[in-house]
Amino acid sequence: MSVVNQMKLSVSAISGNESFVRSAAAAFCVSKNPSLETVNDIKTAVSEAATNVIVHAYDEPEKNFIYVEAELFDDYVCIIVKDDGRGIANLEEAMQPMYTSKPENERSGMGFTFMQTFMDELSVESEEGKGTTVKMKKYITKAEDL
Amino acid sequence: MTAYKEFSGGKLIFYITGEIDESNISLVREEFDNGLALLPNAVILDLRQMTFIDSTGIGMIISRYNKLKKIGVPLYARGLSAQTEKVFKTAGLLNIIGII
Ligand SMILES: Nc1ncnc2c1ncn2[C@@H]1O[C@H](COP(=O)(O)OP(=O)(O)OP(=O)(O)O)[C@@H](O)[C@H]1O
Ligand SMILES: [Mg+2]
Repeated sequence: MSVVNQMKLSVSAISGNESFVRSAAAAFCVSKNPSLETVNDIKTAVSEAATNVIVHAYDEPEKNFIYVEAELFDDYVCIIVKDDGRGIANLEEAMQPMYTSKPENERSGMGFTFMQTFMDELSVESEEGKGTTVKMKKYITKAEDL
Repeated sequence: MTAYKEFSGGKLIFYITGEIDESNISLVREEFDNGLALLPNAVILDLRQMTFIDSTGIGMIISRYNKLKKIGVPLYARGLSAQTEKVFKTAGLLNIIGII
């Protein structure tokens, strides 16, 4: 199936941009008439990926970027959230439910679990010192199908 | 986002409205902890007007839940939207917090 729309977005890796990033990703799909649940699933998963960039990727997040790329197809969307920050040394450990490197920040280590649960496919690539790329795919349930 | 509380008869009702995330979680924490400093004997999270939560908010709630559990104070939540309920469920919170 061929791609019908594409988006690229780079914004400062500051927490004030989280709501913008998740809303932009959800709004990008609006032409496909997604159900409210699909919209909320996309918002939640993208919020997790963006929060991770802001909280974990950079020593000086305000001087660095969150990069979002999305491709919209007829019945699904692919969304990439990436950074060029520190990367993740042990990805398998990082993706375990409840694993967090920042328990002192009252983090629960649920971010990757949410991305996995709320989207249909998730893949993560990371290289120490280079950055992290999170790719997600979501089938779009149409509002009128309900 | 706004966070505010009502305290009467030993019961703390803590209201969150709008979207909570990393950009405003410290305000929510502070306000919640001000409420807990009143030493309530029960805490109710009123989430009827909360329109978004992710793991950042979940971490805040779980850590308060653990503190309250230690001192034997029950935590309840009410007014969960579909998104909030799915997030709570995925985090296992539906099993430990009373939904009223
Ligand atoms: N973009 C990233 N750059 C560097 N490290 C990351 C990145 N994303 C995740 N991590 C690492 O993976 C761990 C797990 O991420 P996850 O989102 O599951 O939990 P968390 O962010 O620690 O807590 P929560 O998401 O529940 O607030 C993080 O603690 C962090 O060490
Ligand atoms: Mg996270």
